[in-house]
Amino acid sequence: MLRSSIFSFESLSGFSPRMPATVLSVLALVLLLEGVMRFIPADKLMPGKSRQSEMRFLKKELLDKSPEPAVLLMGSSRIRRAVNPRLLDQQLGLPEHSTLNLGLASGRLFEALYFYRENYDKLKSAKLVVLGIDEWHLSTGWRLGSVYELNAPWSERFAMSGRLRNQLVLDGLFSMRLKMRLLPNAVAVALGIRKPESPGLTVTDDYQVLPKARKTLPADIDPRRFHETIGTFYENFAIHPVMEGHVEAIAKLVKESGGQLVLMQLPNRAAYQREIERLKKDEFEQHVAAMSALAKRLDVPWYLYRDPSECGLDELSFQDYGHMTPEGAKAFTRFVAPLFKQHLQRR
Amino acid sequence: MLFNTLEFVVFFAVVFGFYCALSHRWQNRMLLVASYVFYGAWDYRFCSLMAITTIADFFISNALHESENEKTRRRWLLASISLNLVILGFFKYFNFFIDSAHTLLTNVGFEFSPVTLSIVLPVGISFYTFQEMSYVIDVYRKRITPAKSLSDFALFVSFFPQLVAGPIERSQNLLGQIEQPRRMTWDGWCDGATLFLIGLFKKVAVADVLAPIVEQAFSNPASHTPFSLLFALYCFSFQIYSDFSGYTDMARGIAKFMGFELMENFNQPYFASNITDFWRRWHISLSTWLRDYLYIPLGGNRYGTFKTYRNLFLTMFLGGLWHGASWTFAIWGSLHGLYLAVHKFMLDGRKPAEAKSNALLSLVKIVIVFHLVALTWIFFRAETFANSFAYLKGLFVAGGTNSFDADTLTSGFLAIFTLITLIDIPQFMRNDHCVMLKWPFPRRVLAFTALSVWLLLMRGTENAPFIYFQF
Repeated sequence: MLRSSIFSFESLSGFSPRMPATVLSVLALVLLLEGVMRFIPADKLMPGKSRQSEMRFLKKELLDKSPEPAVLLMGSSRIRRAVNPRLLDQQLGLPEHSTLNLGLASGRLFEALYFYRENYDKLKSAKLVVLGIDEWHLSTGWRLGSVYELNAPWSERFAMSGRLRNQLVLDGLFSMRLKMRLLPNAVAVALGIRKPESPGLTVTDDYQVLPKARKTLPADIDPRRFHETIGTFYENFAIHPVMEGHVEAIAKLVKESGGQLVLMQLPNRAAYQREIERLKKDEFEQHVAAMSALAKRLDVPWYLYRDPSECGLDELSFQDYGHMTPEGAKAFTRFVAPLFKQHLQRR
Repeated sequence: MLFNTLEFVVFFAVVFGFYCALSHRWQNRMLLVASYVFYGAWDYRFCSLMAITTIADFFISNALHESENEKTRRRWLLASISLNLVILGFFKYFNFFIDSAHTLLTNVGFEFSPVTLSIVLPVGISFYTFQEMSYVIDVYRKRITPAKSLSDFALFVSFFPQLVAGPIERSQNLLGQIEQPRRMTWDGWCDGATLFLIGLFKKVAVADVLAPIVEQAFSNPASHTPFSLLFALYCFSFQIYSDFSGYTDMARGIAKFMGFELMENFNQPYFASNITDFWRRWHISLSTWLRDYLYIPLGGNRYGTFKTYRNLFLTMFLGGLWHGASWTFAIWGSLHGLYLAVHKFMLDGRKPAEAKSNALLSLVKIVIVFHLVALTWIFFRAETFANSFAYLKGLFVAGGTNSFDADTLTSGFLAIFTLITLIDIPQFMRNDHCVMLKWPFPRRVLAFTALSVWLLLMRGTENAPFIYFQF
């Protein structure tokens, strides 16, 4: 052992290490448990109302029924509610089931990327991919969701900062936080003790996926509710390059398949948009600037609709702050169809 | 840099690696640098503030020690206390006093526009200021001789495990350990790891899990049912306990790794059977500080019944204000002062009841004391008087209709239940914070595995800072 006036190891003199049997045993048990958790696919555990379950639903109800998808719409529930696939097929002169609206409830861009990658063999036939952008999509402030927490690449986990990095690194090492708490329910379902939870979605005659029972509640258009929503979406607002990277990855895949990517931010209800611009103007403008720069860098078209009236929509076109009614969706579909047609023809 | 982050793991790994290799003198120097780096990670500007009071108190205590003239000694003491209190007062209480004066004068008819400053509160300032003040007072009282080395004293003030949230160490304990070479032992490492794991569990799997439930209830108490408010009050009682004692456990664990022994700060306070007992178990380093440097100098119980009650009340009132610049903290402290005075009155002339083995009676007392303490937490947690009274009203008069869903109730209950059964009861029964290490091997492995798995399962995604950092 090196000894000097600086390095003397004197605190360790007489130190007698023992076999840390307890630590090793605990570690072995924890790792064993984690191993078992890793062995069980997340899909088997996730309850009905989860993004994974929605993805299964979309695959079964839309992908498997479409012989050759030509137009894909991906993003959150806002795009899901905004475009009527059957009407778009008609407007574009495409066969039925050519347009797939694959928006996910609170869907993040990583989830769109994940779904696109997982089903690439089927989806690569699409010649137009429209990615619905929401103002919280580039921010890491709002929750990232279990799909990301379970599947994010290590480089992205470490690229985050502060609490998020800690959380994602630990989630990468130990999936049990996300999986083990779902185990009792999954076992109960497997044993037939409980009925499997449904995703609560239904496919309309127009092949649009909608929540099963959705009523317009007065609270949905209450300005106080808008503030809650804005507070949620803009909490710890921070645009992160990793989130931009998900758009880049989607753009790369679409390019490889020979398709055209279009980025589109749908209009919100006018009253809600006014509140955003009053309360979170700086953040909103940051998002717009980041999206414009990203679209320019990727050389893809980017459409931002701040005012619903420019798309032929009014207050009655919205069910809440930004989800369209079926009638609103029809109006919006008719509005975007010529635009999509242009992009399909330009290819 | 919170203890429960990857940044701290890397920081401590580097510090500990050097610590093992270095000689005693260099260990202290390295720890001093590391402590300032740790503190600077919050806000590097406040390092200079800590350095100023450290240097001033070091030279003042030496001058005080060397002087034989009582008048001069007093002047030095006054200078040190003034410096510390002025800095603490400015950063922590300036706006509070201005606002309070404004409210008071407005109410009696004087209108003026108050000047308030946008002051950032240096993290841990109350803790290290009290630690420095106790040192200078002890030198003045000739209980200790001052530190010979400025760097050793600076390390005493800034020692990173306990810098930002205590325990408020006494120089007799910590400075002595800094000045003497330390030995690391296998048992010390085991104790350190156990304490750290328990502290981490308390913070991450209990306090952070309870925090959102508490936040929900306190943000709008009028909308909740009395049962929900009662549940949230229990949750806060255990949140603040696990948050603060969890920090202390981690601090003690980290120090133990390096061969330091920090004082105990919590000793199962919710098992106290009377309010005096509670204060012997809760934030022990502050309650003993207040006793030694405030209550006793005020006269303690030496000048009759009335003055004893007055001193108790005043001590706890100031103790409340120590926590934060708000009248809600003052009310919290005053209520405890009142409880202590009432308890003293009830005991007056009688000896405290002998601890007879009447388990049921003990349990009833524990439950009563817990509820009395829980009631005071309303003022501690609420941001305003209006919020406190709304909570109290909601608790006793049915008004709101919001109640927690089954998942929230279950997670809150499980967090509290696990804390009590896995940690507090075993520690209380054996009066040993590392009791788990003495269990037979299979039980020990199962208990540590349960703690670890529970920690991994329940870790929130919030990573909230420790509540006591704001003080």
